[in-house]
Amino acid sequence: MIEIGNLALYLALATCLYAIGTSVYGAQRSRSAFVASGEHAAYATWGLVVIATTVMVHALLTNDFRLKYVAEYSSTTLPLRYKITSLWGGMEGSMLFWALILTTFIAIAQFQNRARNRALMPYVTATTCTVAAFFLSMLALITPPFALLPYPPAEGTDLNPLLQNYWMQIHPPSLYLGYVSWTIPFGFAIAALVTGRVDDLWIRTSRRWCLMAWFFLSLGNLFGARWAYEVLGWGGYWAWDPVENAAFMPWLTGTAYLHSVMIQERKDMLKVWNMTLIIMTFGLTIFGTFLTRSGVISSVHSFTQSGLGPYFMGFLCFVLAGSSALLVYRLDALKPRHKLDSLLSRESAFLFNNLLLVGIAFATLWGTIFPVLSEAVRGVKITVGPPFFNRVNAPLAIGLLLLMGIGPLIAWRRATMRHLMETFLPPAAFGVAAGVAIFAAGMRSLSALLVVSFSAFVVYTVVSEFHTGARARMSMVGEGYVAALRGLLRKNQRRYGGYIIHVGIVCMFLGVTMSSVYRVEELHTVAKGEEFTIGDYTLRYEDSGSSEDEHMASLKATLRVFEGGREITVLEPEKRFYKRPEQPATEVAFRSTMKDDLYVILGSIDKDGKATFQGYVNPLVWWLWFGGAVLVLGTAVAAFPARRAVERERARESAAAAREQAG
Amino acid sequence: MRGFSSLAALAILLFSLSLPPAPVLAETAAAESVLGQRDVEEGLTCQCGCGLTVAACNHLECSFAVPVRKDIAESLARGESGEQILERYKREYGEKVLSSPVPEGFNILAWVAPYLGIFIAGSLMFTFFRRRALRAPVEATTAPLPTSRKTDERIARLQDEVEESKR
Repeated sequence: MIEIGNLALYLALATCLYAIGTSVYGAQRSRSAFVASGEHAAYATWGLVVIATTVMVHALLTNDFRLKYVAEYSSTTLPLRYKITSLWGGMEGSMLFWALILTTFIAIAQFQNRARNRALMPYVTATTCTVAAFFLSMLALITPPFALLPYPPAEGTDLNPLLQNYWMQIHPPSLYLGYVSWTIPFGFAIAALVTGRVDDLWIRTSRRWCLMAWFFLSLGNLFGARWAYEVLGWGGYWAWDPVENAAFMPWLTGTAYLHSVMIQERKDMLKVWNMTLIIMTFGLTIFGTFLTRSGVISSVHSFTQSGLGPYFMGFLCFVLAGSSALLVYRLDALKPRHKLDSLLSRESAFLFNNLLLVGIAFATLWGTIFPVLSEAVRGVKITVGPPFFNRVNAPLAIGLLLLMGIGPLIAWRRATMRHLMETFLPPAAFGVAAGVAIFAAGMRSLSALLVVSFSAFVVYTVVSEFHTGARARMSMVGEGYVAALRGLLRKNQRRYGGYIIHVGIVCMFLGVTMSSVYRVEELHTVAKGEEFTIGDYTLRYEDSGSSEDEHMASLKATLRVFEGGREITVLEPEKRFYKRPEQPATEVAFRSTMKDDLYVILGSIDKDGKATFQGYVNPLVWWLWFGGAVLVLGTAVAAFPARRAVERERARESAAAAREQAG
Repeated sequence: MRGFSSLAALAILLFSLSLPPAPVLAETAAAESVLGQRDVEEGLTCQCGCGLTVAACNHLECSFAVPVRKDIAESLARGESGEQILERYKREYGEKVLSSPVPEGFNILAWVAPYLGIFIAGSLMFTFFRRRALRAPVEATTAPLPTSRKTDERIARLQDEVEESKR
């Protein structure tokens, strides 16, 4: 069985290389049989990677400790669900999982475009298969997942206890889906550059892939934050760790792309910029993989040092150099048809939005690599931690929040002062009123005041966009208000889906700002029956207990929680001691409401029964997760087109295919 | 030129907002210190390997964070300023114990580069899009939106909707 896995990987690498060669040869010589053969080879690569992954999952499920990977990341006592998730718990398995997703996406893209975009597809196949070939060569030659142990142990080391959590089952797959999805738009961008067909075609064709990539990256980051919140037990959810940054940077440049692409579609501008953003985003996904696997920068998330670093760095340089050369080669064809008329225009607002998003990505990248730079230049190790990232990025993020309100309302081309006054006076007044209200309520933090004011401003603009649109439909089409709102959503899902996403982002801004600025933190050591307070909550330490099974031992405390003299809940924070590997872990207990989260960690329980608790009250943190749910809803609205839009797109594609055949 | 100045002003404003509080930039007397217990804890990186600040370290019995928190509280109570405490830890453990680079010497680059980058990239972008566009005639559909009356606004919106729905 294991030999089959190994063989499948080698064959997958061979078919992948074959797909690259035949696709390019077929396109260059206009030999459609070669192009078709290349596509079949890409399907075969996918099939072979599925076989290799199946062999690995089988080995994990059957505790086949002859395999080094299974012995290191699983055990006989590991629950079934974690046996499956240990596929991405270690370096080799995660690379195999990456290859599985990538080859699956390549196969899907091939299938979707089997009868369209025929001029682009050979180069899409070649580009995406080059990426797949890189990962497969790493798996086949550098970090083989099917390496055998000379003396198989009777029991495995087990999966890291920190990874034995629900959020860890869904966080890495979401992140990988997001990372890997960017390969397809990158493939289309490179194909457009190679063929010189740099109109909107590659953008329209890869739009859903971009949305999907952005969606899964958003989810991956959110799930990771939730995992950190529940498992790491420090009361926070984002620590600006290099690996967190690695997932955040492509999300930022991807968000910039999703905005700037609208300018290209409407105004035929920003073609070079959009190409640059796609290349940058894809490059950052490879950079993120490099960070996690190279050991260059220390991180709590990274895999053990593997020697993969130089290969990833080499591949990244190859990608950036090759893409940049193509971009320069096609600069003339990418010239915009229109120029920017005024700084007071929607185009400018989008450009500023892009500037800030890419600026935050750059600041994050800069802070992440600065310790390495400092050591190389000065020979001095320094730390660039959360205070740096918060200080540098907060003003940029607040500026971005403001632009979220300005962008949808400002006129295209050139806005007059009169238009600005008419359009922005009501939302600006609403924003200022919100700021004054919370100032009067006692809030004095500048960042909190700005975020609340700008959030109110953005929400007003979004609501007024829906309202004005619905009123316009009512007067033109004669519908009722609710029907007009529905019609508005149906007719332009992309725009209104985007507005819903904006509301989600506003919720997240509020959650992050308030829980960071107004967090309350307390440490208490109490005996059974004693009470202590955290913020407005009173907690009574009732009892403690312990339990043990073959997998772990657990120590649990029971706390009754009162608010205003009324019992509201019982919390049971836990301290766990995993047996393989021997490692303690914290099981946080928390009560989440829209107002705040009461978050309690059990530190220790003495022999005399006294227990130490660390407690936090995190205001409005619920809104961070709620914002994530709104973001999912908005993306669903934006990504799934109405039937008419699908028909229109099909008609356009048929016309394009007919033109292609006639030509 | 106006666009250039606006960008420069924006970059300077954002940069000034991001700088560490003034006391971190210069030695100040204890009486003038504005750094409290939490600020000093945030200013130090825990050395236990958690990668978090002393304020955020999640190990309740951490061999570094717990005694350091106690030391900070005692030192502040004795009259030592937050800056002096940070300086003392820097002398003892090296610069790596500080959670963000002190803005002096080479480290200034850490703070300045992001804003300089935004300013340069922004200038290039805006210059490029204002000057290097093809001189193609402007299409009729891109005429400025009517702005004065509500009805005009609605018609403009519907035009907008129609145009977008064609895409």
